[in-house]
Amino acid sequence: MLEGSLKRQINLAIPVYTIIIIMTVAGAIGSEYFRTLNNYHNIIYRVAAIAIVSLGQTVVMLAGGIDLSVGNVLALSSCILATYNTSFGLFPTILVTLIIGLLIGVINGFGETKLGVPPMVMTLATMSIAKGLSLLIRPTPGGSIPYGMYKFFDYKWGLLSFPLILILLLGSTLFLIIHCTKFGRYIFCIGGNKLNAKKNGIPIVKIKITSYAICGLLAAIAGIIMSVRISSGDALIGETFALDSITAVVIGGTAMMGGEGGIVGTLGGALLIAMISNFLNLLGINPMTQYIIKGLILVIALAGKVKKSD
Amino acid sequence: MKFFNIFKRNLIVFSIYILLIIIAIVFYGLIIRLPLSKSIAHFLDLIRQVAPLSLISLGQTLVLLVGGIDLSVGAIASLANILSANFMKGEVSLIPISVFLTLTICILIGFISGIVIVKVKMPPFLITLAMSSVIRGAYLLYTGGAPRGGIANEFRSIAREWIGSPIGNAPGIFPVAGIVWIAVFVALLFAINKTIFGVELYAVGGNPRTAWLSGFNPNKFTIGIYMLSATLAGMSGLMHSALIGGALLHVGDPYLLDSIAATCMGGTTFDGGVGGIVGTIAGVLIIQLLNAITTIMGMKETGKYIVLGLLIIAILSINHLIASSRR
Repeated sequence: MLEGSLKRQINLAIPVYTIIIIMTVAGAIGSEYFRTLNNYHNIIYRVAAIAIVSLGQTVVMLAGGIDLSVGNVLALSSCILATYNTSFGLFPTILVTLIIGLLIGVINGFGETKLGVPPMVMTLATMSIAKGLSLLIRPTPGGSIPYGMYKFFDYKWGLLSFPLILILLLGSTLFLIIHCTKFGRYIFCIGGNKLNAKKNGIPIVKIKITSYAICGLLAAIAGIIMSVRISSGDALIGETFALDSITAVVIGGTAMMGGEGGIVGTLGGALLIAMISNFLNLLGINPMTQYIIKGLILVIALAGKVKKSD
Repeated sequence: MKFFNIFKRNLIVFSIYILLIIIAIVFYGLIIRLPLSKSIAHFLDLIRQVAPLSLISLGQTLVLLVGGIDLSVGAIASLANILSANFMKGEVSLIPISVFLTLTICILIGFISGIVIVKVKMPPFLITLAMSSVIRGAYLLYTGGAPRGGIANEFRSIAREWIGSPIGNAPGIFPVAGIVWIAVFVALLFAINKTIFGVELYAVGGNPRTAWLSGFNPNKFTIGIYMLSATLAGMSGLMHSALIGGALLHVGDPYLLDSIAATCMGGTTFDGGVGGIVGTIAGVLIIQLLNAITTIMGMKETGKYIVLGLLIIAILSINHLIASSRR
């Protein structure tokens, strides 16, 4: 089967969706509150940031890279937005956060392709820099978000809400980019075999930098969502995002080495990660035990994936 | 000429040591401007403080050399800190048994990670990540969020005492903690350079299939390396206990990224089989010096993160230049 084809992608995503369905059924039986519409919206709001970060991570990982800086780019954008929107106006500030996210992505890509620094180390370094900058802007959590924006993000139309629309919009755009454009094909080529891609004249530098730029931009968007959700900026808000997004991507069926997988699985992986805490909380499980259960669910999801791909 | 050849072959390691010396000179000569005897005393004290980080980084280097990565070292160090304080209860007679039990548990954790990575063939990145989540849950559950116990003063002397009588500004000739980690470093260096362990380490890291065909057992060896890394992380946790004299939650967390940063600054790559522990030590000392510089200049954490990030990019791109010019 063609690697990167839709059918292959869906096959890879089966284990994670199976676990989600099992958890949903178990949750619906085990907890009365889990069934409510309110909880559905709660999960969607929770999933939005992690899903959007993971979408960017998927693009980078498909091209054979990895981005550890997403969490701190997210935190940086939340700090910038919450701190400067009162003095510079909302829309200019949003624009600046998006540009900074994009810029950090470009630096990541530049470092990997031009300076020859391995992606894990390069993004570790930019992560450190982004963390320093966000601590510089906001040593303590604070700042404010316009109330209108908060209201807008919280507004619900039946099953639809703004975060959900954003996920679907970004997800489908990225899906189209990956599967219907030359750029998407190139990403799979580079992830599958970099040397072959180079020999076939694929512009590796350009494609890699673009993939990191997309990832940085999406991390900045997720930072705006997080910032609105907590209505302030926090320099340490993104600490778990790097690992969570990588986990979401990998349990969604994308290979660590690249060249295989896709968006469909990643959205499932992100949903699973956001659901686990909600699910365990509603079943009344002690947060300390949750760490252990999360680790085990991760291992089980991965074991299922390993069997499927063999 | 012979020296020149050694220099050429180990250009990356030499360059990181030159950088360390430059940073040290800039720090002591230009920033804080201490007289030589005081500078030496301060540097020896840095060697004392760096003990937990250098132990953990040595383990991380070994894991990276066999082509893996261990993200659970931070959690293991935190666990060792909590367990040692809990078992010791501040009493001298309980020191041996608590050290023994703590290290045994750490080795067991390394064994489990290693066996899952080798047998189920899952990416080490994610298995050790899951492991760190499990360990964190386990110690939170065990302590109930409030760690108890204490470290005996006799055990704390490992991190506090110096050998010899005070000379000049230093409380002694050399810190005991420094002797501990340098002894571990020298033992590992001996094992890598003079025994079959080193051959196997680079063979398995370079190409497990070839190593297997050459009569090594890469699976067994990889499990062993994860056990060794967990042991060193446990020792680092014990050292941290001796430094702070009690149990705290999550003390090991900052060590994780620092250990990876130190290791790759020292020239070890993520593909396995390239690099070594000598460079790692320079990386560790650079990170510790950087901590000192940013603290003294009043930049606190902010400056440390930014400078560390820029330094990593600079060093790694220089390393890349050196490596590509040789080809």
